[in-house]
Amino acid sequence: MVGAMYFLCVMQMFLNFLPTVIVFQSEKPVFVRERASNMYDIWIYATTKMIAEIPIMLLVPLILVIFVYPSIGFQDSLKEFSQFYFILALMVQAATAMGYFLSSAFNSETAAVAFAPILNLPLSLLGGYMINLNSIKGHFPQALLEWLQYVSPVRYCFNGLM
Amino acid sequence: MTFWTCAAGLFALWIAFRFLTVISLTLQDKAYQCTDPNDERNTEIKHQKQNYGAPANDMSLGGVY
Repeated sequence: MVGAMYFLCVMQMFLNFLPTVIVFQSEKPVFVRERASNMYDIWIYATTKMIAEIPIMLLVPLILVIFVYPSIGFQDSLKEFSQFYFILALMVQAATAMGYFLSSAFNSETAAVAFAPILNLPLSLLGGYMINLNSIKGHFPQALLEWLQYVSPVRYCFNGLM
Repeated sequence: MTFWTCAAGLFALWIAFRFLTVISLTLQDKAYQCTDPNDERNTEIKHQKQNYGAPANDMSLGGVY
């Protein structure tokens, strides 16, 4: 069951992080054109996009949890179910936000897509399941990447589901 | 880590990356100067009824020939 929890977190990370890297790049020409016409400010664009996406981002993990939770045989408790869903919904939001940041940081879609696994895989590995995070403390060169665990949504999601 | 610590961590990452997205877009906007600093188009867009000088059902050319 612990493995299932971890892979649910990683799946949410990959499914929501990678597509958003491409989504913003496709919207960029329209955004640049409208921005050049002073149609709106940047923070308005980002905020409205975030608000518009919240309902679908809440619905998708709910559908997943409704099927997966009883299938795996987690605890038959409404409280546990709600906490499970709450953490996965937050995970979806965090992964999507990370994807948008990566997408906005690069000018070309190719560069953003190429960089996505470089960021995604270490964050997934430092989620707490593959590597014992206590064992890499103070060990060179693993300790150089140790700080990444604090910005890893997978780590927070995995610990929250546990 | 407690449940609420994890939830707070995810929430903080969500807000932080959204904020970083705005900063990234702002920096790119300034770097590429998509907007002319003297361009004042659409700066006074207001949600008010426009008066075009002719009723909406007037299908004539309205004096424009």
